[in-house]
Amino acid sequence: MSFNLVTAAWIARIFILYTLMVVVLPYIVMRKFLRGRSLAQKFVFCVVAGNFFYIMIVLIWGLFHITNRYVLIGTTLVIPGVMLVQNGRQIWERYLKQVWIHISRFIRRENSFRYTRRIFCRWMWKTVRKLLGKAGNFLKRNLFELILFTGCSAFVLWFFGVTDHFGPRASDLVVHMYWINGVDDGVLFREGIYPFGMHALLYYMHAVFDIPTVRLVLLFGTVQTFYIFTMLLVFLKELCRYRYTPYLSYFVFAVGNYLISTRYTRYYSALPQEFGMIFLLPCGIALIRFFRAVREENAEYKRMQEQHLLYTRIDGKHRWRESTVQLWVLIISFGLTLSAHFYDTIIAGLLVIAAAVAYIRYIFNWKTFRRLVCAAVIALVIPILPMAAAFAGGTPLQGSLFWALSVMGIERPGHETNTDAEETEIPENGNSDEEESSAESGSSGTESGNADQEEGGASSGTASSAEGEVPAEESVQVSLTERLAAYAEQVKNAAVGTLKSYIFPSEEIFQAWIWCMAAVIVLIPVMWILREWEYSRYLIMMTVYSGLMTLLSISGRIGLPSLIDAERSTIFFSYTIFAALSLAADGILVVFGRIIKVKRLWQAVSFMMTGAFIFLAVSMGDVRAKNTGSSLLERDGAALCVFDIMEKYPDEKWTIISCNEERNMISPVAWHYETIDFLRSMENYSDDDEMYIPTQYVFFFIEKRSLNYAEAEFTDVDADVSEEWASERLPAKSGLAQYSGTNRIIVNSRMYYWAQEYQKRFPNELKVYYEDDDFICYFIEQNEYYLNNFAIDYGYNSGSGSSTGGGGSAGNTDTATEVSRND
Amino acid sequence: MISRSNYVAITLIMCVVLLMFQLTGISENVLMNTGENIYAQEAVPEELEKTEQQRYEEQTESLLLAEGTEACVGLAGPKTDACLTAGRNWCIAQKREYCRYDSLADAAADEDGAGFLITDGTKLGAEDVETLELLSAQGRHVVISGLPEPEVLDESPELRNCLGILEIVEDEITVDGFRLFAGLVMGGETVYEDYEQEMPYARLGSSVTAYAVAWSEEDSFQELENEELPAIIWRYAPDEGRRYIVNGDYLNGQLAAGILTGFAADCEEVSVYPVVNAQVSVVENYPVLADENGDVMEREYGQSSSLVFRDILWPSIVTVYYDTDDAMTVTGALRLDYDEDTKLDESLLQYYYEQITKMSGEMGLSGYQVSDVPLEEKLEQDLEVYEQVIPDYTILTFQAGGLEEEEYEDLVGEGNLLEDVNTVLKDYDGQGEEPFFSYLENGVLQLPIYMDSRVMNNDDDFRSRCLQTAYGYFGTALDTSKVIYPDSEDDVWNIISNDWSKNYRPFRVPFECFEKTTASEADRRVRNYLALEYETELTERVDRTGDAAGAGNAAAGGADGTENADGTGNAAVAGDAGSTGTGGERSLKLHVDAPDGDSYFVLRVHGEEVTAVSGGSYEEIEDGWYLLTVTDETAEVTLDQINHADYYIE
Repeated sequence: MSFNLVTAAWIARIFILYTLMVVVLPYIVMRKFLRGRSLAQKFVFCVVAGNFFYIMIVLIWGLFHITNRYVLIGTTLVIPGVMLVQNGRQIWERYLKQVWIHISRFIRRENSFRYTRRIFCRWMWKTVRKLLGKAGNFLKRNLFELILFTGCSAFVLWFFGVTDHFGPRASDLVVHMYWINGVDDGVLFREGIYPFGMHALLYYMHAVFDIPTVRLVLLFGTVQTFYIFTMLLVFLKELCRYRYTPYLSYFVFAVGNYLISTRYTRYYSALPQEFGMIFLLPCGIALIRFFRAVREENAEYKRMQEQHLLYTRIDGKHRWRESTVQLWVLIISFGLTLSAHFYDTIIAGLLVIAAAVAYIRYIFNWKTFRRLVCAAVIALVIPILPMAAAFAGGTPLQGSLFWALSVMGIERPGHETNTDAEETEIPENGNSDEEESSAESGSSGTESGNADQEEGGASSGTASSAEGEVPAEESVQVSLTERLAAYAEQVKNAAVGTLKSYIFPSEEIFQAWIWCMAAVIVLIPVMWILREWEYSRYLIMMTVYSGLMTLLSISGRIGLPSLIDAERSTIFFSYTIFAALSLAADGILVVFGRIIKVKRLWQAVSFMMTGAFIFLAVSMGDVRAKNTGSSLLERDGAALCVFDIMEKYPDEKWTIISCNEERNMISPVAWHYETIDFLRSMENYSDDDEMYIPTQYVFFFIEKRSLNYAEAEFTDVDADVSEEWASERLPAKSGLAQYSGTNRIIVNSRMYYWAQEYQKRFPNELKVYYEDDDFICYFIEQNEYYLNNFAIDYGYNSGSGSSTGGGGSAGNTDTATEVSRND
Repeated sequence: MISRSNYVAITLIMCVVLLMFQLTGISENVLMNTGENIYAQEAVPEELEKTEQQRYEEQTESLLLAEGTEACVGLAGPKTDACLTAGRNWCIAQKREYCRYDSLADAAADEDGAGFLITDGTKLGAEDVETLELLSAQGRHVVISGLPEPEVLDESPELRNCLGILEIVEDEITVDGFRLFAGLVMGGETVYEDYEQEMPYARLGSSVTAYAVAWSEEDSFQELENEELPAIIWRYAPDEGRRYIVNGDYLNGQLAAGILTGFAADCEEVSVYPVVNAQVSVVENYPVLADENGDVMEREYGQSSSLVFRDILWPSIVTVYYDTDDAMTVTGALRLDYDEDTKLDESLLQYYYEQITKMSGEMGLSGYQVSDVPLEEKLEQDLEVYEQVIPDYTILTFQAGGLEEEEYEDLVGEGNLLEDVNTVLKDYDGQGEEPFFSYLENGVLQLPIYMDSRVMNNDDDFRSRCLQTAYGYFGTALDTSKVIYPDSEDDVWNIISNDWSKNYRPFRVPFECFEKTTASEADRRVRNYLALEYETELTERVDRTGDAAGAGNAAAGGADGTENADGTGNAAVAGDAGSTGTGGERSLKLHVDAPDGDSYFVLRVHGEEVTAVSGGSYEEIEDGWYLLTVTDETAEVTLDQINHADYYIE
């Protein structure tokens, strides 16, 4: 069966399950509460509440070390159960009573089978007709929008659906797998305290639906990306007045080829930072809605006061005011960003600041301000509470948090940051702080392809800033104005440099964006003139937000403390940067709409405008071409084998011997042994060497053409296994370095010739399990009672022709070779 | 009230039902009244008998080659070596060509010679190390029967190394039994806790695969790591050519056939060899029609022996046969004591004939007696009774038991007293030099009975596994004469029948695929087995994408393509054929020339499974072992690798 197809089916399965979890089920539970709200609002409420619920139950139960399938399912069903009990009579009367009457009559033979069948068919037909009618009405009202949304979403799912290459696309994915699998063992923060939102959610899916963690972590990226992108559309729908103008930005970002391709590479992976982006814009939406609700509530209060009807007003203690509801959405969304990744929180903070600037008038209201401060405290406390509880219980902080602090220029006390991965001794299980740090620092394999470009951009930026600097001796003489002017020039250069090198692939697009921003800025006073206060606030919010994001992206270059490195911050900036396009178009239509007050006309214009733009973009070929590129961390064949083996062989009965990557993928169900340890056990071979793997089935993963691990394919050397490479010294055991660069070719070559020799001796036992041009997997089934001693002289380990990089035969003294397991 | 038509219909149905029941009984009685042996017509026709024997004898002669070929078996050493005799018998049974070498050195010198050598290991010395290494380098496999003396091994680490032995821990130890791992012979893994033997304690090194390791309850044993246990049978693979070592004398008798089959099958990726596919279960010396040893019978059973046999033994026997689905063969001894002229109830013979025929069983004649009258005289007396009671009954089987061949060879077969007999059931001789199945000069076939139905000790089980692996034949018998003339306190029917029924099932479950036959049916199959000729052809594996396997595995060497068998039908499949690749399908073609209908083969594969067979059928015996029934001249077996990735990348 085609593995591509299987992977696509898995993505579809995960997508459906996640949608059921965070959209359908919350909608059923909150159906009454959501009645009357817009579709976009319903979506935001469901996604935010759904994710919050699942994450929190895992975190809470995790603190008590009782996370398992049954506990999670039980907890999940508590709310629907309570609702069922509360509304039992109503449900019974409305839905079940009549059914039960018919069934009991049929059982008592009071009704004939034919009659019962007729009733059932009639009811079915009525229900189907009702549903079809509803669907027809919905289609009639939203046909074009639906086409636009479905088309763009299908493109997103297709583009980010990793169905042609299967390995992890970021080196830290295996670490995340390891942490998630830790919850299986009742350990919440296995490697230290870290924002655990995404892990908790994936663990929930893993535990409840029995999906292997490796599947989830490798494939959830596509699903979360769909939600990230959809959330952008929802946000734009919140801001824009016309139906189709949001699709301009949505199309440009989701489908168009208007951003540097590396801005999208992280979306392929299920990374915490990207997961947190789902909740970023709901913060802005909730804040806007909050201020809007506050305004309306104040107006209503004034109106009632004037009419002396205050005594009829229901107190806030007895009802949920809309502002309170929105505030809670803000709290939860903000909290979720913090529970997913600190960077998301920083960006969410900037968005909140931008909204606060736009709604500054309301901030100065003491009551509103007080509510906002309380909300901020709660938003911080909720996600931090599980972490604080774990910290109080003695769990240390995870290393990457210190790395994040180091990016901000805050050094870990008593610890020097070592960013040189080559020199860092990293255990090959990939669980160390350093690996996570290196992963966090942008180790996404596919990003590195653009490293030169980025570096070039960065250096040009540096050069620009250098140009802007004034020689020290001259600085004494220059005036403050001149210095400010020079600094402004430096800021401008840094901003332009950063935007061009990180975000915009061409000058034309950059110029177009500048024009859009200019239009947005110009529209602000125009809106004031037209007394479109609310609309002007949106424009201000987005302008300020864009300004803050620019500042964040260039902070390192202009002498300000850098909260997030430009590589990451520009990913966030890219996400919303084209909102200016929709706002500019929408704003212009708003202006015209005030002149010719025929709303339908302008809706039609917005549709034509969007349609024309999309048509032009597509016909001009401005659609991103799918070029997933293979993983630089694992061969496709290896990913296929991991999936196949996990599916077929009984738990705990098999071991994979490979270069590191599969270790955490299989850790919950089976065993892993490092190739380097395997080879070292028989280095400088002598007759009494022993190498036992105590499982029934053993799989040997060998790259016939080695990866340049986390870098790219080798171009300067022949990476195929060969006798020359096998004759090289076996690398010293040194964390990931032993599998990096040409060391990987040596290790794979050695392993390959070991397999050849072993197969020559045991042709009936050692079989090829899978083979393609780049990768081969050997398989052996052992007699568990009398294990095979895999230590043989395979021609390159005799000691005469080669020597070890340290250790030599000393490695063989430890004959009781145990298969290690991550638990 | 019912209508007339309904009444008629009901009456008709009742008549039909009545008729059906009556017809069954009538047909049975018609059959009984003929007084014939129902297997007489199915016995091998006389002319075929001769052809088959002739083919077998010609074949046996042609198997011995003057010069070795890669596909043949080499017997290295003096002819008198017990292991080489066993090796020769095994070659004849499996239709493998063989040649002889004076020594291993001679075999090594013949570079293009036999690819599978058998030699006596007790005679090996340090001087043979080089030869063994050379043979391995040549890709030739050597079976070594027994280890050299411990002193020789102590003195020569090279020789130890050559045999895959890391060290000789003790020169001699006594072990309680051994653990036999699955794979070498059929029957799966088992532990023989009561199989005491003395042997040198050899601890194995790397590149070995153990087939059997010692077992003991002693603490010192239990504390050992599994891989440190004294090895009994193992394979050492220092190179392409492997060495199979047996620490003991298991290769010196008939058992060798099973072990050698296992070794040979291990050398090949796909191995196929002919088998008999018959399981014979005999009740010896039943019935006895005379009332003998009255005192004992009165004391133990309170009845005369003829009544005990009819009323006590027969129901038990029938129950066991029903329960086990075995085909009944009984070999009657009308009397056991011919010196005493005791009364003989001849009417019982008719009774037994009818009962046995109803059971689709077969009656033969036993040569056993407790008296000392000449065998011919005894048989004449017996035949006289048969002539009187069931004159049309053809006796096809003679139970020789422990009689010497000279005693009965002139009494059975064409022109002799028992002229219709073409099968002699004889006792098994574990150390005998003759082939397992053999012809008398007059064409009567001798089938060995190698099991006692009452006993299933560890050595019996091991024997059963080895011989069924090699021949697909099982012969067991229960001697009922002991009921009348007990040798010990245990020779009473309740204990005998208890032992019989207790041991019957569990030890035979792994071999249930073999057909249960009467002695005459087995005779026909054995004759066919001995005379058949076959060739095999293994095609190249085609991987799942349609390409030849191993395309990407450049350095590994790909599949060798179609491999033809040698002229005698020996499946010579090179070890590396199709050893790489992602595991697609391939097929094994069997061209069979069998003189008498269906032929049977055992197919041994490693990591593969049979997915289809044309020109026959197949049944899985256990993992990696299949029984093939070939009905056409050519059968094609489709094989697929079991463990492989099910997915592919587009």
